[in-house]
Amino acid sequence: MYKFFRFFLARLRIFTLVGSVAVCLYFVARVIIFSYSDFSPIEKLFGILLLTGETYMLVHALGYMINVFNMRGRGVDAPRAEIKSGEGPWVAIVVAARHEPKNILEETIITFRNLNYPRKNIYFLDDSSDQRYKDEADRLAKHHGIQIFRREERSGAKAGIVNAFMAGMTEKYLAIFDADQNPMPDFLDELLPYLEANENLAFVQTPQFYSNVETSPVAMGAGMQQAIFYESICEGKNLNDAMFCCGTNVVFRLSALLSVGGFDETSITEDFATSVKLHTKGYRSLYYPHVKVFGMGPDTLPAYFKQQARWSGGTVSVFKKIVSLLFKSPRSLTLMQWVEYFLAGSYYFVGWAFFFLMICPIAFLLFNVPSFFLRPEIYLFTFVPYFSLSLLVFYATMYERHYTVKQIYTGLILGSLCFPVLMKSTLLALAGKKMTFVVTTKGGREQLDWKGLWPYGVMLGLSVAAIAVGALRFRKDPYPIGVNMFWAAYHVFILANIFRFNNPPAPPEGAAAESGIAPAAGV
Amino acid sequence: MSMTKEELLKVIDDAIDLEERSIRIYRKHLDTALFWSGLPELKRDQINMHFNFLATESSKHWAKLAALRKKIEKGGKDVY
Repeated sequence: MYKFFRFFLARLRIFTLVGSVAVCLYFVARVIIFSYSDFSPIEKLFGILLLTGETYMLVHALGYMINVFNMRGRGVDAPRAEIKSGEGPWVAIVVAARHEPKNILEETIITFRNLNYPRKNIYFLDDSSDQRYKDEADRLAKHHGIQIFRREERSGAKAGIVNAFMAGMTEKYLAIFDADQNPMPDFLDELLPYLEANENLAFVQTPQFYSNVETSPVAMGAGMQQAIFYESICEGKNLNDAMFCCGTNVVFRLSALLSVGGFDETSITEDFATSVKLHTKGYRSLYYPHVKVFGMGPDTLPAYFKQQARWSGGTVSVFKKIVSLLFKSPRSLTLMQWVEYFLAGSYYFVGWAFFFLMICPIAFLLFNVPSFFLRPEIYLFTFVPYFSLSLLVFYATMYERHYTVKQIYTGLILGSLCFPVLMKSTLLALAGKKMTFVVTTKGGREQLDWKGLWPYGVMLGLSVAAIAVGALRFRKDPYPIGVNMFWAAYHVFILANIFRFNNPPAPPEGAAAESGIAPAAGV
Repeated sequence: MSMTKEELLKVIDDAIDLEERSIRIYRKHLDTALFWSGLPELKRDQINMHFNFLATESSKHWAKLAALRKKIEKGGKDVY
């Protein structure tokens, strides 16, 4: 395996080129044959669903390959200014929090205090409405000698309080962190030279890296998804000057933020929305591809789903604006910036794509409704090269960064299992509505109950039934039935993992006592 | 700039507390970084030993600070 990946990685650019051609060939073959096939209206419907799901996968596979091709052998080549010790610009370091556990916040504040960079002011933007949390915040601020900021009127969530704080800022730069993100002591020393060297650079983003990956399969899966995003995808976006802000572990130039009216308070993913504004205004962004901040990821399914619902809903609402902007002002971004924003903005439709790919084998095996109209030999010569090369490029690039196949797969399965949440949140976002997510707890531990599990139960039941019917009909038409049975079995394997992920981790001993106040329900 | 004995003791208490808690925080994160490093288990064990050594060394630092604190507390001088 090692030798094979090394051989593959040594010729990665060639393989990505061949892979990209294979993706395009498969797509062309699918569209042409679909257009000329003779089918009934119901077959046509399922054919369109499958083609839509596949097109989504093909477009994103192509995007990944283009990124890998572009970034091969390239690192951060942005200029750095020299900052003399004690003579650099002032930086405001902020953590915005609402009803966060005290122990988590305190760890973050300690790491702020430990930052080597001397010209810093630390602020705790406390958005709590509960008096107990306000009192805790005051005690923390007093103990650590940091400043508390509160606003009079609540408008907008995190974006609102950061904007209110920015109005009175005297520092040149703003470093933003979530409550559970701990920067390393050299964070500012590494990042500020980039901002000082280029007045047109609006922000520098660093990766999120979860420290609790060993606490549960969900934490591991979520950590892996972060790794996939921050390793290859962000590095590719950076080369196209399309890296967007991810809300935490980032340093902003205050003047750039003010020039676009601060953070976009109309979006729940204000970071993404504001990045679009900054790029359309001609500002640049930089992705610093080294971990300088460690944090905590969601470790239960409800926590993970809540995070994904928020990110997907917010991203899709911004995606609508991006599409509208493309028609109104096509020259406001470069071609590659449009491509990157299109890929990022459409990413969360993956839930729909996965659902379409799941129901088509079921429809064929249970109800004899075909949705795939390629002849076996054309399927073999177009699908197999595309599929195998896409997988190889993806696994090889992750393997190169020391991730194992098992770890990568944990991330991919967890992402696939998010499909009902993503379908709902993206649909609501398209309709301009917000999604609420109710978390139930069992014995103090977050877990999905049967109401949350029903989509998996239905899809599992249908897929298993489809395999059983397929086995009975197999001799009649082995090739198409066999292929569909294979995909149904693959989906059963993915869906069955819901039970593994829904087994919540035991809370660490003494966690409740340490945290002071019990954590409130999420925002 | 001068400070009273009480103020100085507070600064030392804070330094001891900050150092002790910082080591715990960074240790946790470094363990994860090591987990993802892709290094062989033997190498990881060796690095872990170095981490433990550094943590032990830091405890000597706390002991020195604690001794200094005691000296200041017992001493007759009030302004430093």
